[in-house]
Parts: sequence; C-alpha cells; structure tokens
Amino acid sequence: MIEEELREAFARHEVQAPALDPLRRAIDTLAARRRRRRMKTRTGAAAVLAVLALASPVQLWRSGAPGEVIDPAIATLAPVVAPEGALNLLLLGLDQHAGRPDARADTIMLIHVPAVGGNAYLISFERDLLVDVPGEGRSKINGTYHLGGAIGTKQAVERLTGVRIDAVAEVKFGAVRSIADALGGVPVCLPERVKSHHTGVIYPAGCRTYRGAEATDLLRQRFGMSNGAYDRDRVGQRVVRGLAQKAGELDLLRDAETLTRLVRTPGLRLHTGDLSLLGLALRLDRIEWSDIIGISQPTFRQRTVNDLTAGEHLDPVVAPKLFAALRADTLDAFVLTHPDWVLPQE
Amino acid sequence: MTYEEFVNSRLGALARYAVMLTGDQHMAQDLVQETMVRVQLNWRRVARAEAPERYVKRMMINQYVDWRRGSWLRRVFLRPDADAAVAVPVDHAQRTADRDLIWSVLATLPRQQRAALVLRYYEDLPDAEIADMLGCTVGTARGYISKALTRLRESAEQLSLGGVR
Repeated sequence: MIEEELREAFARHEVQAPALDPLRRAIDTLAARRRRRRMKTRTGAAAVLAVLALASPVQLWRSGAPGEVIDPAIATLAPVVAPEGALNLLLLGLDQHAGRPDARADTIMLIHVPAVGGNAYLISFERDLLVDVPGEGRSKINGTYHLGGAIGTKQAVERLTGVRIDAVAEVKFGAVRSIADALGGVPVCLPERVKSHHTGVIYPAGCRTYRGAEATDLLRQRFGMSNGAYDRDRVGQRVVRGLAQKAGELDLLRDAETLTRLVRTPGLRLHTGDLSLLGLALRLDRIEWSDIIGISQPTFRQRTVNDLTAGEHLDPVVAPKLFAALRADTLDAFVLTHPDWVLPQE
Repeated sequence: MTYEEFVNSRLGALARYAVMLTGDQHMAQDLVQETMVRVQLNWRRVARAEAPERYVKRMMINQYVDWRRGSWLRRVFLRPDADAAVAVPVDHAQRTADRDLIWSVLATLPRQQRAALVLRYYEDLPDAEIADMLGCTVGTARGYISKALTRLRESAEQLSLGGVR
C-alpha cells in the first residue's frame, strides 16, 4: 500500500535530521544577533536609572561590586556584564510638545564612550541641521522625531555619522528639572551671561548651582545668544557634565531618599538594544565627569536654498573628519586638532 | 517549561519533522533555525500556548509553506558550510532506489499537500488537527491528502511497470 510505503519513507529519512549541537549553536547565535538589532523600549524605574546613568554616569553604582544589584525590580532584566567596545548612545531632549504628534527633539546629543579609557564625548547636532530622510526628502534633524519618533532620529544620526547607536534616551525638559532637584541642584559654568527669553531672568557668566526650574529655563535659551542653538547645545553639554559631577559627589547608594526621588522621575524613556541597563551603568561608571568632552560645530553655516527651507549645514571639511574619527574611535586625536570644536573646560 | 527545557526535550523531534517537510537536510536546518530563533525571542508567548510543541510545529509549517523561492535561493547561496549529505541506510541498493522514488515524488508535490501527508503519515494526526495545523477546512485538508496520494500511486505504478520491463 502506498500509505505504508510513505510511512516507511518518512521513517527511513529520520537519519537526515541535522545534527543537534551545531543546530543549537546556530539558533543561539542568530537569536542573539537579532535580539541586538531589535530595539526594546523600557519605561519605569529601570529606564530612569539607566537614563540617569547616561546623564550622570559617575558613581551611581560605584559602591556595589559588579553583579551586585541595588534594586530587585531591575535585577531580573539581564545579567550584569559591562558591554565591551566603543558605545554610542543618543540623548534626545524633547520640547514642550513632548507626547504630542508635533513633538520635536530639540536637543540631539550623541554620547560616545571609547573602547578604552575613562572618558566620554558628547557630540551635539544643531536642531536645524538639514538631513536626508528616505522617502521624505530633506528635513531638519529635529523634525525626524516628528516623522519617525526616537527611532527616526536615531536612524537620521546613524545615516549622518555612519555609526550604530546602541541605545536612545528620550528626556523631557520636566525630567531634567526633577533630576536636578533630586540631586540638590546642578553646577553649571556659563562663559557669558544668558537672559531668559521665557522668564526674563538673567543668568550671570561664571559658575553657580542651578535649581531644577532654572536649569530647564537655561536649557531652553537660544534667542539672544551669540551662536543661537549652537550655544544652547553647549549649555546642554555643560548641564550633562554638571549632573555627572553632582551624581559623583553624592553617595547615592547610601542615600535612599534621593534615590527614591530619582527613580520616580517622570518623562524619561529608554530604548536599548542588547545592552543590559546595569551593564551600561557599570561601563559609564568608569567615567569621571571632568573627562566628559563636549564637541559641536562652532557656529552657523546657514544657506538659503531656492525653496523656502533654510537650515543648517555641516562644515564640509571638518564634519567628515569628526564622523570618521567617531567611526574609527579616534576622537582623542580629533579634539587635539580641532580645539574650536571642543567645549572649553573651566 | 523554560526555553532550555523545551529545546533539550524537543529539538530532535523538530529537526526530524523539518526533514519530513523539506525533504532536505540543509533546508531542514534552515527551517528549524529560523523557527527556533523566533521561538527563543518570543518564548513567553510560545510557552503560554496550550501545547507549545504543536504551536512550534505549526510555525514551522507556516514558514515552510510561505517560504518564497527568492529567499530559498538566498539561503542556499549564503550558506557558509555545505556538509556532505547524509546517506540513507541501504540494505538493498535497488530496493532503496525504488523506494526513494517516493521521496523524490514527494519533492514535486505542492507544499500544502506534502505538509498534509507529513501530518497524517508521520505525525499520525486526525484530519481535524491536520486542518487546524494547515489553517484550512477539514475538506480542504482531505483534498490535499487524496490528491497527493493519487500522485504517489501514479508514480508507483510507473515504477512497477518499469520494473516489469
């Protein structure tokens, strides 16, 4: 009977089954690769801690040995292994329309952690920078958030720089305020006085500690500054350095009250690839705030095109060198040869 | 059940099942690999299924039936290691060659028909479950099986005619 022959044919070919050990290894390798590619979105306490680790890398987990976890809620996320190699993280500051369809990312900062050494680089992208968006044509980079959300901006920065972004943090202005207040203020040094276009308050040149509300007001200013949004981006870099400095001074692990307030910060979202949050924190933990180096184009390179869109352009000579250094993980050499692109250190 | 436990106990059966569906060791490897990667990444959803193994086998059928020619070609060309095919045990060369005619005719069947045969004669499932696995009605599933059997019978007759000659 044909049915019997069929059963026999099936049984006879069972030996053709692929060997299980290599099969299993192949499955695990492929799954790991795909997991890395798949961006996960996290919210809640874990995301806040990780964004804090991004914004304030120093000493958050310093008193715990690697593998020692401070919050049971995040203990289950992933094994604590500090990622190897260079890391590229994207920090997006969202304007007051955050959560609405017309939301824009007005602060776009790439945080580069080199494979070796204890420093980090903050590379700011001016909000009006023109970029090509597949299917959309030219767009201002802050509009890529409106077009494609955090992932849209991530892809725009990846196309621009040629590096892969490992994690993206979205931060609303309100979150900066909560974090700064929870830390007891953020120390910022201004090279020139800033008058708030929004509140009329004057922030004098020099160093002082800013309360949360002042820090967010300061972060919004670009009108009336010599280099507009370029100057604002540099203020943003100073605030990140200040948060890192303050977090480093506090012993957060022994300060349950501060930690609790930080963990409750609303307005933060984190998208990670295969990075474990604590692993990321451990890695960032090696960085001293004074070794955080800000990089940005010094000033405007505006060009009005035939159509009405006037946007910012990158320096055609220096920007390619910057991105090449970023890809090759040689920003240390870049900052030595381009001092005018480097945030002055007080 | 954890993913590890599932793999430890079921990977062998899934690999054999993939051979029955695809008729080829390399394609079977691709089919299991592709399916199990998705199983691993979505384990919680798979584990919630009433019968995880059956859920995974259904994923494999869908994958197998949906695989397009283009992606097959790509898979074949991109394969890094082309190990030698495993020989099927031979007790009597001519008889095996004759019997393997069934195997080669199976390869010419439309994929739904082959899948239906695997489910009935390898997995020994009742028609209702075969239909469920294939996502079709019981009538359609029976149709697949009867058409496939007719085709196999015709080929077997040709074979025996050839043998007489």
